[in-house]
Amino acid sequence: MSVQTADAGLDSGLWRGRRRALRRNLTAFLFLLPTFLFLAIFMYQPTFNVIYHTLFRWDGFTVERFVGFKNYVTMVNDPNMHIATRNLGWFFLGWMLQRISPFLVAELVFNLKRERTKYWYRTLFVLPMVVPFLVTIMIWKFIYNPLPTIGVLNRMLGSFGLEEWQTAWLSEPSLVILALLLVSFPWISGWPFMIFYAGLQQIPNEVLDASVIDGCNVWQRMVRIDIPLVVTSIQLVAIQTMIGIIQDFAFVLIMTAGGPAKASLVPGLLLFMAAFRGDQMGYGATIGVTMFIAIFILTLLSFRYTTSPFTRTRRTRET
Amino acid sequence: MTEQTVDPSFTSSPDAAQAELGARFIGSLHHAVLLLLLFLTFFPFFIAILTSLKSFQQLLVNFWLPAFPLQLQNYVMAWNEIYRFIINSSLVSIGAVTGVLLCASLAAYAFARIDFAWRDAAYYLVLSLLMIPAVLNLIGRYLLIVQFGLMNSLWGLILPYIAGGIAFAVFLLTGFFSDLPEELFEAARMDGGTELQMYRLIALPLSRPIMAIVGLLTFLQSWGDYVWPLLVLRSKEKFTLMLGLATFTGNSQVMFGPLMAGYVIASIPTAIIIILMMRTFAGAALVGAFK
Amino acid sequence: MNRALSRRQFLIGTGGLAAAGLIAACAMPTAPATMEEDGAEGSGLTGELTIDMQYVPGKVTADTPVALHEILHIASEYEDMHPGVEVVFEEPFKATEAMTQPTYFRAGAAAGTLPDITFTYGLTFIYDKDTIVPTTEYLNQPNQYIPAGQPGNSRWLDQWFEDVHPIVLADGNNYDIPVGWGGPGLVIAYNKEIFADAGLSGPPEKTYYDYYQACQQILDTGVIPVESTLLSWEWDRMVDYLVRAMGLFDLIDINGDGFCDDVEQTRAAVAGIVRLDSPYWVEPTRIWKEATNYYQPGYLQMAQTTSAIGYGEVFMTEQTAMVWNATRIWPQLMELGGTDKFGVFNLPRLTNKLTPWGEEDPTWLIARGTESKTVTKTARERGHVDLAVDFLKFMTTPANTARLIHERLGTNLVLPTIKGLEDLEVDDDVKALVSDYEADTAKPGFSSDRIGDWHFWYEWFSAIQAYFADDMTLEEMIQIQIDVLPTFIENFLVDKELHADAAEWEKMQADYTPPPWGDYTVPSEPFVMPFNA
Repeated sequence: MSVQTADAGLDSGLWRGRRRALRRNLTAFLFLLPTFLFLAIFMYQPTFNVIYHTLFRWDGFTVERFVGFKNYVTMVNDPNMHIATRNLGWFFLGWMLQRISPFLVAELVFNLKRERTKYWYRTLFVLPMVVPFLVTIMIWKFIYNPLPTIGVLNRMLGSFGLEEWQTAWLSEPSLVILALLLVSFPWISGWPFMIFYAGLQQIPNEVLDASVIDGCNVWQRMVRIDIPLVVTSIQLVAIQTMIGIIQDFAFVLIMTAGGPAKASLVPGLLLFMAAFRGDQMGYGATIGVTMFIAIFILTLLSFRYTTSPFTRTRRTRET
Repeated sequence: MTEQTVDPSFTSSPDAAQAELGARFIGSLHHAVLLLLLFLTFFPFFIAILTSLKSFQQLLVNFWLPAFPLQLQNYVMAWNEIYRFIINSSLVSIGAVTGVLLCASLAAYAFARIDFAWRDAAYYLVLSLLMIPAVLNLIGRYLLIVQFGLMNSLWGLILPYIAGGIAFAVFLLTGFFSDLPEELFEAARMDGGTELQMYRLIALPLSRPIMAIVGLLTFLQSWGDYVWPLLVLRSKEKFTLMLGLATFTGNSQVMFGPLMAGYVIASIPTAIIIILMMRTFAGAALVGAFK
Repeated sequence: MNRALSRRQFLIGTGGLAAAGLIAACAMPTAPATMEEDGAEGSGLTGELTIDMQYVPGKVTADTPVALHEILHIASEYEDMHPGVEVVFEEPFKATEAMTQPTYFRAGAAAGTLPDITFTYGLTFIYDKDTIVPTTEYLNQPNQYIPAGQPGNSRWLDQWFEDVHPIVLADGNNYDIPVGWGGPGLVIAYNKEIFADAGLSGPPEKTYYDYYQACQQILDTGVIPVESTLLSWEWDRMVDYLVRAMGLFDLIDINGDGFCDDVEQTRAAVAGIVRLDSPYWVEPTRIWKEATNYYQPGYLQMAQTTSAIGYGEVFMTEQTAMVWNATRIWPQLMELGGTDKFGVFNLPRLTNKLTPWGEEDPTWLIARGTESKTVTKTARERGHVDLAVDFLKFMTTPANTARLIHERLGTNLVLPTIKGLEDLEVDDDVKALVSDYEADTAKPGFSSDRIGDWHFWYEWFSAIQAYFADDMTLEEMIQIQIDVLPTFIENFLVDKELHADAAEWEKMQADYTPPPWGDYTVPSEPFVMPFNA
């Protein structure tokens, strides 16, 4: 909208325009007020409070002593942080595979002939999503129960005569990460499957028909046509997974609390424990800021080296 | 295809028969793999439901199959334990969804439809919050809640959830509002409508589907959160469902039956919400991918 | 507007965020309004006195299998005596995954939500003394609720036994009012049927040696003996006994208040009295590792707390013979068969039958006060200090303490700290203990306030877990502790502004005669239970 100067005098027109702009600004201000009130109090203030206090030995309440960059130095040298980062690396690899692997299942379902069968498989695979994540975790805790009489997995091994394989799955330092990665095997139900399937559905029929005429077999079609066409979906899932992995620790907290010893410790959990159990809020904040920087850099990199998933998916949604 | 008559010699030729056999074999293998995967996907839930209907003795004797008589009282026991958690969670989620929808739609309307000073700057100020991981804010918010005296209160959950959900909601809604045709608003403006009227009478009614998606996402997020309630809530009377489930041990009877029954019951509210919103659900799947 | 996000726009946004942060930082939220000032008018002892017990009065909870009503009666009697006073019970703090007592206390102090009187344990962890009202002045006043001629009538302090005087902190002040003391440890429940099957007629004799021997006997019949998590209590108690046995207690407890608090322990560490490679620290860990052979599989995966999910389920499903800290699951046990099926006994003593460092017939050791009361900053702000102190005087008279302790005898062992309780109706175990105690043979334990902050203990327990999982040797484990200790000490000294004192403590090293185990080295061979050797 521009300032109106049509048939009024120049001065009064400008004046009216300004007044109108003022009123527009005021209206907008009132519209934005509740949002910014919430954001200022619960988003901006805590964020900057925390970033500022990474420079302090700080228990959040009474001890607040400036220490410069000592927390960062401590963190870099903290063996806990080294272990947590290494564990995170394993989780990173494992969960990335987990989130991408439903693509193969999406292909399997997509290549079925009858629409009705496709529909049923798709619905059934997605159905477990209605179960809250925490319930799934608790059920898997039951599966990994260490007692041979109760643990589903141990009992199963027992009935196959493999008693010597029975073990306490979550308290073996060498097994615990593997056990955690296997949770919710075969990892199909979830957003990734839906996104991949939706991506496959976006492939124009003409392309698929042409591939059949050209005598492509299923494998060739998958590699040459499907993957390049749904690559944005895959990127999308990958980025989302990446950000999620770095900051999510509730899963590990509930399953093992980082144990046994530190075999499944992750940085988020270290933050949680340092800040809330150890009253070392300053150190916790330092870990938080580092995680933020890591996520920020990884996101920037993925924007740089991939097409922006945001624009792409918006377009697909609108079609 | 249906018009075409099949040449008998074509199907009876040995080559073709072999090919058809091969195709059938591959077809059934295809189904076998999918069925196996389906089985594995459902196996834990199947076991959970089975176990929820057994007493502990039945579990020890007959682990893999249903055991009779079914222990329906497990569900009664579990329900008595967790119904108040469900009420608490509902209060929190309803509060959060209402707050997010109200604040974010107002803000999004301003961003999309009002041309005001520093609009872009303000917009990016909101969007940049999408980059802040929740874990960074954990400490700061916790201290705020302590200072406001909201510890062990459901408001201590609702207010931060609203703040946490706004940024993404503004992002989605602004996109939607700015795609609405300008003519509608122009006409209303001619009739002397205020911005608030246009927001209420034009923008809101037209944006029901996207509001449903935003609401659903906020709901699922606040419903499923574990860490924040763990920090804020202390007394069992205030626990949300997720926190309640994690600390829920069969209170009076031996384990597992009531425990699993509790898990089954806890899955029902989300199941109902998601099935009711099935139509917008697929859209939400795509939108959820932004997160 | 093009809403697609690019990298550049994100950077712009983040710049904006920084600007907003500056604004937001200026608008730091203010502290909440102070509490209502209904009692501010003065010393007339009126107003609403808020207090939290360690339990929810009048209610059955996991921690209190039997509803505890007595404090409610005491409060209403007090209200009858003082019209205008209302005693309000607030919900007690309960440690969660996310919150420890000190955090709760400090959070409450910062928010102004602490009650006037709160229960505490680990008082010396609370860094900010401003949050607690010193009680020395009041302890020297007479307690008019105690009949004339009885101890305490002329000076309140006199009503406590010598060993369990209120805690004295480094500044020479008292900060709490002890109400009840923990018994000789935690209650272990056992399954009578499994015991009978293993040929055991009753609970083991009250030494660790007999306890472990009973475990072995049960294990030989193919049953898992004990359900436990990595609770440090088993280890704690052994440390208590060894510190006593080696005559270290008095060296550490310089102010003679019956406690070895943080400052004293840090001093002892700086002076070389507390050493992490000495037998009282190492031997309990070695024995403990051997003892975990009697634990259920997967004990390592449980959190180090009995409020862990599913704690007790193995015992309740009759797959183990015993369970640690049975009070936690007492309500369930009562429903599952009650005392016909389950029995309880107390944590045993450590003798020289199990380790040569022990004594032949050690005295009972009493755990740290499980319940002591502090008057908080809230009371000061609301002008309730006099009221709070007066109520505490009333609550701690022998008559009232007897009532409080009596009703808790069935739940958790709480011992009287106050003279004049000879006529308590108690079961024989407790009676013996009380008489030992009054005859001055039972002593307070050492490790109730352990050295170290969270970071130290996290390292400590992680190392123990790794040692127990055979990922680490004993020596490596001890070394980790030794490496972490200086950092802790340094932070502690700075936080408490004790550097000047620390210089004095270091000088002590020269005068300090080496302990009797001077040539003790960390053993490399695993510990073997003596009855198996």
